[in-house]
Amino acid sequence: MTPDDQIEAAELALGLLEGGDRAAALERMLADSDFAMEVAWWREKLAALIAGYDAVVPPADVLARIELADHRPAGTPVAKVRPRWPWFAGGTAAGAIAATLVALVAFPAPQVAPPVAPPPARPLVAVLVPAEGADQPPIAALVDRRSGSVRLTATIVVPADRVAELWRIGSDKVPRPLGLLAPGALTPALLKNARLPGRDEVLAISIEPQGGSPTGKPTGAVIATGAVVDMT
Amino acid sequence: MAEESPQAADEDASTRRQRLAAALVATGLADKSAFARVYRMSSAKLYGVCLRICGERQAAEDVLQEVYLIVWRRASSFDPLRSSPITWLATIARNRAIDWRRAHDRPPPAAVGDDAAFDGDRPDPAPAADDAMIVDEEADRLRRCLTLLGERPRRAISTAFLDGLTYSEVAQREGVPLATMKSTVRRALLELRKCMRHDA
Repeated sequence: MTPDDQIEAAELALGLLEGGDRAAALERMLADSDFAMEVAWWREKLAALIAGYDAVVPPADVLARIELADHRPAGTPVAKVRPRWPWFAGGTAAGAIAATLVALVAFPAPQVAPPVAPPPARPLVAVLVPAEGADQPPIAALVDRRSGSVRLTATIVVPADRVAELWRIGSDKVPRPLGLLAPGALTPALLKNARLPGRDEVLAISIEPQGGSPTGKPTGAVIATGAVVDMT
Repeated sequence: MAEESPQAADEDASTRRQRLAAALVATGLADKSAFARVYRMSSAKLYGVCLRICGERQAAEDVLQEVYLIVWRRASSFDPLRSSPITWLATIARNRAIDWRRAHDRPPPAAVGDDAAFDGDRPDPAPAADDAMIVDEEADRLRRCLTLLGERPRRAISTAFLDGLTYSEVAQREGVPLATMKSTVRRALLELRKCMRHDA
């Protein structure tokens, strides 16, 4: 990170950029995980400025006008339901994961510029099942081939001073890094990579030292894995 | 906090923060009464955010409703170990209000007076009730580091954040050329980063 990079990250986090500068910084955030982490750091620190807003009591009828959908809110991590791996049997957790995936499709991250005339391509999805003993809710992943991104429901439990790194494992069984899942990043986590995982490849998340695996292969505990399948 | 029960005023900030975090987690499990508690504990702050950025009451009310629908949908992604609940909520409100203003091509809101919370001439300002929920070591450090900047860059950074202003809007408000504003703010951002990283 050069000082110019650090400034650009701060400018993006603060909302100073507009037009092409903003688009370029957002693009970069998707492609460059160091830059994304710098932006996340700034967002987290600058959030303290929220103290500067005065509280103003809204009109009394606003709450009554908010109509909540009766179904469970989308994006509910199944960990909070916590049945024992029932998604294989199509239990409630599978339903919740499906709802999460629908939410990922239906509410794309607003920062991402819509691709121009995208070729129709059905998204691929994966449910990353926690490793035995990992204190980690299952994670839904969406591989969006139109925007060239991987999105995750980002409730990833990472010890202090470590980062989570996402890998794809193809038929040759060699893990290839997809990017770091920045702590404090806006959820859902979003990674952009030219080499997206394909159908039947496996996604895995490992816990790595700050900055990611030093060897290019997973060096820490693999906390969750899941196969990439067609979204039906 | 005005709509909370009377004893709420006596609770300390950390207790209120815990109650709000608990209500938010329960909202993530589709508990509507918990959602109503979240609303009561946070709506004044979030309406303040919407009103300041949108600059008009009707729009601020509409955005506020939208924000709470987003809160309902996303509450399950709130991680109480990682985020302060009021910061998590207010960030959604700020982003949504900025989106609204840009989508409707509205001019930036009129300047509000100097931001007392970060006024270097007033050390240790007593935080307002809601603010006590976000005051922690990190916030103190940011406040300290901001006071080390010159007055203009400090004001530019805090109003850019609070009013949701871009470079050109900040430059216009301050009545300086865009290039001047950019170089002033950029230098200040580097200083701020250095201070935030090293001033432990």
